[in-house]
Amino acid sequence: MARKSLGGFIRSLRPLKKYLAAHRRMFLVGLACAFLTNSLGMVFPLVIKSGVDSIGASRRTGLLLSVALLIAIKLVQGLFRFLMRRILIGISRKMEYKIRADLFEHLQGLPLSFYQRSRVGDIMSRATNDLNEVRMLLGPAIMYSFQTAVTVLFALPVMAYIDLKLTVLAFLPLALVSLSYKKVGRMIHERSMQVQRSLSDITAKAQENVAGIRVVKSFTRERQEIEHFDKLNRDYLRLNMDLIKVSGLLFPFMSFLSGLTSLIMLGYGGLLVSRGTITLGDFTAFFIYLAMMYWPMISIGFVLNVIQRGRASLDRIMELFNTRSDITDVAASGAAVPGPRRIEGRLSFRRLDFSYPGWAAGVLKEVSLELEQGETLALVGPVGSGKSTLLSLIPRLYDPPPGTVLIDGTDVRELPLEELRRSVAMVPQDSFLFSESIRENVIYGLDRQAAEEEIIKVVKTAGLYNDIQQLPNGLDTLLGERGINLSGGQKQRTSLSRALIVDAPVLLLDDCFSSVDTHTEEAILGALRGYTRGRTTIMVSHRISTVKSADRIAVIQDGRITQLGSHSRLLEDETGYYASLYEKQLLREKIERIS
Amino acid sequence: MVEDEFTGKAYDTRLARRLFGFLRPYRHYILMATLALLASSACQLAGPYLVKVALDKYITPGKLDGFGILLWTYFAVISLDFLFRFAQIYLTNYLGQKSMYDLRMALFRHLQKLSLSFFDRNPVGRLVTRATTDVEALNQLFSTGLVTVIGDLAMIIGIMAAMLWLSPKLALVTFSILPVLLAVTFYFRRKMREGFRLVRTRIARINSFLQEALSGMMTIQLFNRQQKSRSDFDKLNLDHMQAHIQTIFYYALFYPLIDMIAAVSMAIIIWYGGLRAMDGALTFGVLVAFIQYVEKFYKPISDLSEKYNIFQAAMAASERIFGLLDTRESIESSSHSVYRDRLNGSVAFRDVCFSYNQDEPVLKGVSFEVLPGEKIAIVGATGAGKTTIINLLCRFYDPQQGEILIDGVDLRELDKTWLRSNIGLALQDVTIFSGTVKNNIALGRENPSLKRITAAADAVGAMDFIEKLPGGFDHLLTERGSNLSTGQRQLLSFARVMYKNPRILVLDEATSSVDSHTEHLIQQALERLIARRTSLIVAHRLSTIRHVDRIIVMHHGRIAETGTHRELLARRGIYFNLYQLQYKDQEITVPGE
Repeated sequence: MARKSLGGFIRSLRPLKKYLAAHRRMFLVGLACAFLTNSLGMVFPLVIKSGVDSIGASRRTGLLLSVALLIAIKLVQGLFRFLMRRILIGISRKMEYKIRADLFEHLQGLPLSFYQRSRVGDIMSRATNDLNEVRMLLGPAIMYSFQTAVTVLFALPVMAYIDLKLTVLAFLPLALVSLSYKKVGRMIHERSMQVQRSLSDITAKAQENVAGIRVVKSFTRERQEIEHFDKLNRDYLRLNMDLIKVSGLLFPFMSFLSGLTSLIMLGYGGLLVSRGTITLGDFTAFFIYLAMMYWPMISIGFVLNVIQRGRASLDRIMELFNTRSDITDVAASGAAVPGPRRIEGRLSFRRLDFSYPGWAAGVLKEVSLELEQGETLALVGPVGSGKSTLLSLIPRLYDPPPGTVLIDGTDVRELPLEELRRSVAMVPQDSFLFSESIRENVIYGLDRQAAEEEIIKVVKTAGLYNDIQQLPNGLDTLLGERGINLSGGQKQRTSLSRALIVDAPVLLLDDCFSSVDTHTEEAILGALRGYTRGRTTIMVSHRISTVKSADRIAVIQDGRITQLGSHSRLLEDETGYYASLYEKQLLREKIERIS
Repeated sequence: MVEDEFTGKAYDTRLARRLFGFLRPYRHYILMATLALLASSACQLAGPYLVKVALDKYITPGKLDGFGILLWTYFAVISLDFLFRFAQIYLTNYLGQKSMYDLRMALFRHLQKLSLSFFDRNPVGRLVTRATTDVEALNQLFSTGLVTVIGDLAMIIGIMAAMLWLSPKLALVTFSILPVLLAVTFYFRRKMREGFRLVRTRIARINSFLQEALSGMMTIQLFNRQQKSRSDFDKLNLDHMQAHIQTIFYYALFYPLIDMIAAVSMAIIIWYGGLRAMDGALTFGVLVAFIQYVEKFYKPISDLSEKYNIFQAAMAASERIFGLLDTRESIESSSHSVYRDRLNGSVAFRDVCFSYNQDEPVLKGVSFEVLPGEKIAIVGATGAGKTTIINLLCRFYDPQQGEILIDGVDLRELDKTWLRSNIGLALQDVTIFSGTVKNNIALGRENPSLKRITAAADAVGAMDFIEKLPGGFDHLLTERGSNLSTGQRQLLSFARVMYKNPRILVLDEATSSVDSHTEHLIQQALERLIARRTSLIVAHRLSTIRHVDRIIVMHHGRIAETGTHRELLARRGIYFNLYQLQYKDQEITVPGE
């Protein structure tokens, strides 16, 4: 490796420095153990040599001494080897733990916009596969490269001392081992990339087939699909065999080269012994040294490979770490923090223009609106008119421009994020629930323990109580993959309960009754009325029945508020959006009643 | 992945028997691979023996006549070893890849047979994993595990035999340490297996937690729960690390112990063998050969735990694979399926009841008849059961009660393939397959005739946009059809049906609004499409309804009204109101575009 690229190499590993620093002392101890165990191992052939020489000279005490030494060395060596593995691999696991914890912490701080542009699968693969590659770099790669270095460093002088020419000759094939690995390694890399690509083709095909199974079946395309899959599968088989032709050669070839070394040893070394230039013991020791060097030499290629992959993976992990959140506390940005006080819940939107980062088109245009503390506002409007966006700006899921969204007269950007979000309870459109019990999901947002009555109360308000009673374990029924699946409406009501129990002064409901039937919805709305009294509430809905009892109703069309007022006021404009929505509602109710 | 929980069994007779069933076609390869492996082992055993001969016959006595021949023999041995090793690796990989290929095809074929209700319940990702990742996990078993275990055993036995042959006494003395070796291996194998299972289970937990947290990050942040999920995650993360540290302990102990035992064997050989050599009862070459054999003896043993893990992982994967292969949820053609030469195209539903879930009936006794060539629109509010009628007619599901007849024959009596090739289905959500426009219209039929494809595309008015695509009919579409607009996809799916030219057309109209120009194009295409065919259309557009002969109004799983547009309007019932609702919808959305 050239000096320049070595510098780059070390620089690319710099992010690991702080993780290693915590274990620096133990790491050095581990390296010392690695040094000791490997260097002791190099004494081993010398002991065998003296044993063999003792046999030749018929010295019984010498032989006994060698044998005793042999076991003693192995014992000490084993001890250090045990320590080396425990310490070095242990540290690599501890660092893996720490990096994973830090990564999770970091991911939790990233804003919603990040999660909308990244795929969960991609983040997952960085946090698992890539992290594992980095760990391999930290643990085994360091351990093995140390082993190789020590082995070569020790064996070479001893062997050269025994016989220089023999050493040079014996090393010729071993040098070939490393060289050939580098060359063949590239070929293997290329072919295995092809195999990987082919595998991802197969995966994509299976994905496409399963996702489109309805079309496949209705067009009786099964046979063609099988044929297509068969073709990809065959390609994969062929590419794999192409790879095997090269990679399968590698190991036998290494073996062959090592055999060649033994052959040189046997021929030339035998000649030297018969001439008396070296002793039989020298000869045996030489043999053992060569055997000992065989694996470390091969492992050079392996280690290089691990290091390369580890570096690439580290880069991918660092990409995540380098993504910064733009939604931060004022404290972090150095501005004044308002003292702790209870938020009352007056909401103001002042000439609010908003567009998503990277989007040219504005989503909200000059929205101005004042909500009194305790007021209930309903938002209606066509799909994509900006209703959800307006709600998401209040708890700063996205950052509004400065001075446009205020709570109690304070810009939401000036409030500590935690306090802001504690004061705003939101029920999003998609009700995400965790694979835990219903109880855990309901009390999710609470910092304290909740009394059973308290939970029952919100669950009743949210119209979920009867459903829960039907479930096998009531509130403790598990949800998700290991539990049961709730219906869409039940999910929405669980998500509503979760927001209600936190008792926040501001309540935001984003179309959270869409999967609930109108009858249940009316019951919930009736129960909610008592709850929302004294809380500032904004509810998005498409149903007149949901919104008509709100204090005020705002119609948003194409990012602008086009109508604002009470139900009866809005109905006065007969050509307006609200009036036509109302008529449709009446028709629907009529249809329902017919049966 | 939650289903990645580990049973930890490394060998399960029932699973193994089925797995070996996939190897049976390649038993000749297994035989050849095993022979190559045995030959290679023999070569490896020959090495130390040749060194012994060299030492005793030539080097020690200092007589070098014929030493050259021995060296050439040695060269021949290592060359042969090279060939045999390669042959063995190639053959085992070949049979491994071949049987994986078979397994993957078996899975894929099986998937094609399963009914839609199966796909409703199982997420796409899980099924894809079975056919890819899980099959891949068997690769190691097939290609490295199985044959090398045979090889390792052969090697161990071969070494023992060679030692006994060279010097029975020294061999027996050397073997005296074997019971210790067995005890150590046995103990550690158990510990390592437990550790491996623990690690696998815990990493699976970390992954499923991470997956969930990433998907629900908005909820976590909205409720200020970062602290809680951090500590939950930390617990899992810590558990995982501790499981590893525990495993490291056993690994760290196991390797030096095996090494130690090897050293003791070596010491025994040198001490006992050395004494006998001094007495002249043993040649020096035998001693060196023994030392070399002992070194080769311990390598397979220290690899054993790794092999064990391979078996464990393979068993877990094959359990999941066979679990899928055992799912019997296909809609079978009946044994005496009826083929018809020609289809007239009459359709009848007789008192059909159906529910996807047991307690939620979707169709409650639906009966209607459609004459050949008649055009029917099915309308109704969301959830009234319109789409279900289509699903049953295509036999994606079988009704729980009642019967569905085509030309007077029950669907269950008809051959499924024949049925589906006579029904053309165009769905709301148009599935685009990655491939050319041409293939997306012909949908995999052999030797698609470009003339017919062009005619089909032309008939539905899709030519305009196809011609504008780079490459025209050869333009590559991506999987989700992201490079086509909604209207274009709609036309493409019409072209598909046009090309198929079925006797019965079933259409689930898209609800999404399109601009008036596209709307016009789609209506024109529709008119061409339904001409001379029995057509059932789940209609959302007023303009579509105008083209049909009769309208069926669905309401809460029953047929509430039937009749022509005029008749139904005159009744002032559900249809009348639905019509006004639809009318309003389109009135509101269209000017907004």
